[in-house]
Parts: sequence; structure tokens; C-alpha cells
Amino acid sequence: MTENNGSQQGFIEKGILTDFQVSEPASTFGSIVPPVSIASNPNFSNLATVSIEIDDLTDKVWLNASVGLVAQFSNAHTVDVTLQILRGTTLIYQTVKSLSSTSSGTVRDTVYLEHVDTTPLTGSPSAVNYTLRAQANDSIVTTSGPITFTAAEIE
Amino acid sequence: MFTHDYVRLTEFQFSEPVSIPVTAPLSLLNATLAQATIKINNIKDRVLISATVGWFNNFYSPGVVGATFTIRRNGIPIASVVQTVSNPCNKANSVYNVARILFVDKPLAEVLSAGSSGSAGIQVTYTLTSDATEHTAFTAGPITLTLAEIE
Repeated sequence: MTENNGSQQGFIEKGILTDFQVSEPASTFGSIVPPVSIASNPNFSNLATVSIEIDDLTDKVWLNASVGLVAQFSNAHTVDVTLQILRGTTLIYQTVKSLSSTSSGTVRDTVYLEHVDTTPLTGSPSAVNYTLRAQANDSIVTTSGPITFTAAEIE
Repeated sequence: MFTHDYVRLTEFQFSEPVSIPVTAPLSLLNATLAQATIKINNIKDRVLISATVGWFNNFYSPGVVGATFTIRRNGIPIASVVQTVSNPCNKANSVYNVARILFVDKPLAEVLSAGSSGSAGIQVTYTLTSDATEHTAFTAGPITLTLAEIE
């Protein structure tokens, strides 16, 4: 289920973006050579990590990511790619992207992730680490970029 | 010599009903997925709008299904995207996609010309809605709508 019992509705005083961190292992398609294989269930492939200093319990973190995916099909079928964002080791966001082909061949697509972490801190000010990772239900998926993962502090 | 007009993002607002897919999917047919309100205090201010929706279709045979996602300002459509998912196999299958809308709005000029009074501190409501070509299209999340004032 989701954080905060599955429902978040925000109306934040001021809501000013005060810090911005980015991890961008690749900004163009094909720039990761050889491409990174997306691990098959039950394993995950870590794609990027980003760390941001949070100084107040009321701060939020606006997370955005985009990942280019490639699937090499040998016949007609569909492969599902699960992408997750973790705060530390806690799963806070998950989405699924399918790639389909009617025959053998290469299919390319891009997936986007967006999340507002309303509870980045549980105690004193510290650096908060976020991980972007992916898993496929078939071992035919890779990424050669782009991979972009950003974190913005909102006060 | 250049003089810089510094731009900053303020008044961040959001609605994120689902961040991890739930077990009770919501039909995309004529649905309201998320809504957020932002206070705009200058007619020159713009609003950076971002929306991200995970959705899927339950196929029972090969085919293609489309879904439309729309951003509405005070009920009026201002931005939309159309996506499809397809099933290439002659068997039942759920096929997933992620829709993304990124749009910059300049709301006050149009809101004021529509009859609202005042020039500062006006609340503008943005809604993310959906529709689909088949009743078998759903969202189980994630659903995220964010707003930020560019001033």
C-alpha cells in the first residue's frame, strides 16, 4: 500500500525548492557500453542513487526519474519492467512498464517516475539516500541510457 | 552587460493518491485521478505542472487500447497526452504503461479575463483526469500530480 495509509494530499506552506541533487549515469541513448542488464525476478538492478541533506522534519523531497529501456524479443510477447524508488532500504514508490512486440526484434521505450516523499526524516537532520532500481520478468531487458534521477528539497 | 532576473520555484503543491500500486484498480473511463490547488500572486507567474500515472489494460485477445490523460485548470482542459498499450499474443495479458504530462501554464491572465476579481492571491485548481477507449483500462497507481509556481 501507499505511504500515509494510501492517501496524500499536500498543501505546503511556502513550498520553496531549496536544494537539488542529481545522479545522471547516462544522458543519451547508447551511452552505457555495454548496456546494463535489468535483473530478473527476484533480483533488482540498481540504476542510480542520490543523496540529499534534509534539515527539517517538515521538509519534503520531490523525486523524478527517467530511464530508457531496450528489449530484445525473439518472438511475440510482452515483458514487464518494475521500477522502484527506495529511501534507504524502504520501498516508497513503484511503477510497472510493459514492452511488447509482435515478432522478433528490438523494442525501445522510456519510463518516467515521480514521487513526493513526505517523510524523508524520522529524527535529526541528516543525509537521506534514495535508490532507483529495476527488475524485469524476462531476461531480455537492458538500459544503455538515458538514466536521470533527481531529488529536490521542498521547505 | 546582462542583468539577471532570478527565477525561483515556490508554492509547491501536490496530490499523490497512490505511490505504490494498489490491489483495487480504478477505471480510467471518465475518471478524476488527482487534484491540487495553488495560490498565484502575480499575473506574470507561471505554474510548472507535472503528472505521472501508471496504467494498464486487461487484454483477453490481441489488440490495442488507448487512454487520454488531461490536465484541467478550473475545469478547462489545458494539456493532454494520449497513450496506447497493445497485446501481441493470442492469450489473456495485462499490459502496463506510464503516462507523463509536463506543462507550463500562465494562469492568471486567463483566470482574470474569465471574470475573477483581484490580481493577487488567487487560488487556481488543477485536476488530472482520464478517459479510455475500453472499459478494461485501469490505473492501480502510481498517480502523482505536482504544481510549482515559477516566479
